[in-house]
Amino acid sequence: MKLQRIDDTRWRIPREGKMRVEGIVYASDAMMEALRNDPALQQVANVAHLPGILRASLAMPDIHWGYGFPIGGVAATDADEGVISPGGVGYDINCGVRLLRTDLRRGDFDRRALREVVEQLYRSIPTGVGGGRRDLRLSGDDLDGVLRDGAAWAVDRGLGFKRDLQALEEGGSLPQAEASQVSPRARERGGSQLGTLGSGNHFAEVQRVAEIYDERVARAFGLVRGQVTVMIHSGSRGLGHQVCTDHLKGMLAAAERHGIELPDRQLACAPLASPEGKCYLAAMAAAANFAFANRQVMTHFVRESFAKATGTPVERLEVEVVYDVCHNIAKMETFEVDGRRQRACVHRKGATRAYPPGHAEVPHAYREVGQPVLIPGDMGRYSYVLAGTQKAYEETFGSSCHGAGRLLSRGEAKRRARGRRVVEELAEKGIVVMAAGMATVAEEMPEAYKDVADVVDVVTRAGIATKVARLEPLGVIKG
Amino acid sequence: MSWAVVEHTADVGIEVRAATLEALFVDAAAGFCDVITEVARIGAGEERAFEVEAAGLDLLLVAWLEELLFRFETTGVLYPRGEASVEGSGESWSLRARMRGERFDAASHPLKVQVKAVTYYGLEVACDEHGWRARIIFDI
Repeated sequence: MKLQRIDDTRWRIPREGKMRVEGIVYASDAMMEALRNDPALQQVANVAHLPGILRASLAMPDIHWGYGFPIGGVAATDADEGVISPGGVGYDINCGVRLLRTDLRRGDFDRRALREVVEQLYRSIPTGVGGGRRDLRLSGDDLDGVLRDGAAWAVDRGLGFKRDLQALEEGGSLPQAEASQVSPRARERGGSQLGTLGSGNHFAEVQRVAEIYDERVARAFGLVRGQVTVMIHSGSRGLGHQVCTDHLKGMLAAAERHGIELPDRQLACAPLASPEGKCYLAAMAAAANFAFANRQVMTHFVRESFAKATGTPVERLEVEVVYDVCHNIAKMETFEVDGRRQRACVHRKGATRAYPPGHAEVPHAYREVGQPVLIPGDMGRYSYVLAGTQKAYEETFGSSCHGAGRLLSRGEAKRRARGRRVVEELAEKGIVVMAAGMATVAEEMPEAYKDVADVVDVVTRAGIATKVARLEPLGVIKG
Repeated sequence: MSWAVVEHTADVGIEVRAATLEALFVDAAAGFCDVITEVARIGAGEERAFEVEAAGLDLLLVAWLEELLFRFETTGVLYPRGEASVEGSGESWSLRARMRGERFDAASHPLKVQVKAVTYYGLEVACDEHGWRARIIFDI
């Protein structure tokens, strides 16, 4: 793979063969050294083949080997002449992260009280294999409402507050959604999974704000040192997975029919203006709304858990949404760069929107400081809150990184965890872990991930986000 | 047992080898179940007939595993053993199978990982002098 250094944090994969644009990878020297022979770089080049791709096939510093797109990939395609590719979104449509802040301080929790909260979360939020809570059974009409209205559906049902919606990307609902584009199989597979975490890298984590880097921005986000926060990482569950599965089949045929040549079938795509492209966009938006509703329902479960554990009624608890970001999504967005307006379909596959101060899409309360960008790390170290920048808006279609990125394959992580007691090791560091499967804990142990601080260092040096706060884990539930 | 787990940084795959095409599809089912839990612990009390069609032999393997994933998520049953027949050529392939399995129970089936989807990435179904082989990556 040919690579040219652009500057301190950026590398160019020059255009060759049938690539329509160049590739640009954000990485430090050390990261690039490790990446040099990784299939992820070829995937950046492959994405550059998509018809109508604008400027460059981009990759964030948490880039790693995916299928089709690399994880950490960003590609914007022209609204009129470009394509939409389900591979640029992934199966877990609108997998994302939500951060809640509380009025509790770390000092309010002794070990017993912390365990009580984590156990309560584990009881409230279904994890691992299986469906949702018995007290949340959806009728067909309910599911239509979820697919159409997203998080607002849950709020209307009393699972949250109206003010929550103001702090969500897109207000927690994509307007292009059409419930009729979601197949009966997708409904059957995912309809019972609303309000469930799933497994793998999904989690709900009780944290403390360990460090503030920018007082002014942190204040706007409502974050102070020592404060207890909760982070939720989950997506659209079986419903979204099936929507992607269903539509990929049509896309494989569509790509052939439209004469689109691609180096990887997983990049199958169709013109945004074609029937296949429109159907997928409508179905994907509906699945994205399911994910917004899923994180909203789990927010309610978190409030319920804190209420039970602390003996305070939900209405008197202060558990507020800081923000909710999508990191597997394709959205129609408008950019104004150098006075030129450009409408594009931005695919973010393991990447986060990072809009700048002053942007109309940034919630009013954060308008002056920029959009919160939520970057989970691993369960033993830390996560970050960043803020979007003008440079991201101009350079990366308003995008930044989404997490640490895996270092070890799941098999290798399990081999290294053999004979160790990861849960006890974390307990010694004061972190309470509860999981449905012990294999998940081994695969997800801290050493399986890169140090998210390195990723954050690159995006902040590159100017595509700024550091606001560091959050450290206190308790984690996993699937 | 003629499957092996393929390492992929974020996801996981299986490589299957079998003497016949029919065995390849049945063993792929076993490999799929083994990604989710320990296949040896899955009983055979549930039986089900399957029919799957696709526009290519490799696409048939994806469709087959997608069907098993769909049944698992909607009924909770994993089907690692059984008999299959595969017919077709060119762009028209079909599989009929009668599979046996058991409902997943977290108490007796330790969850390794939940599969989200069967991908087309690096998908391979081929025949060589040693028999049939397939390679498939799951999104997890």
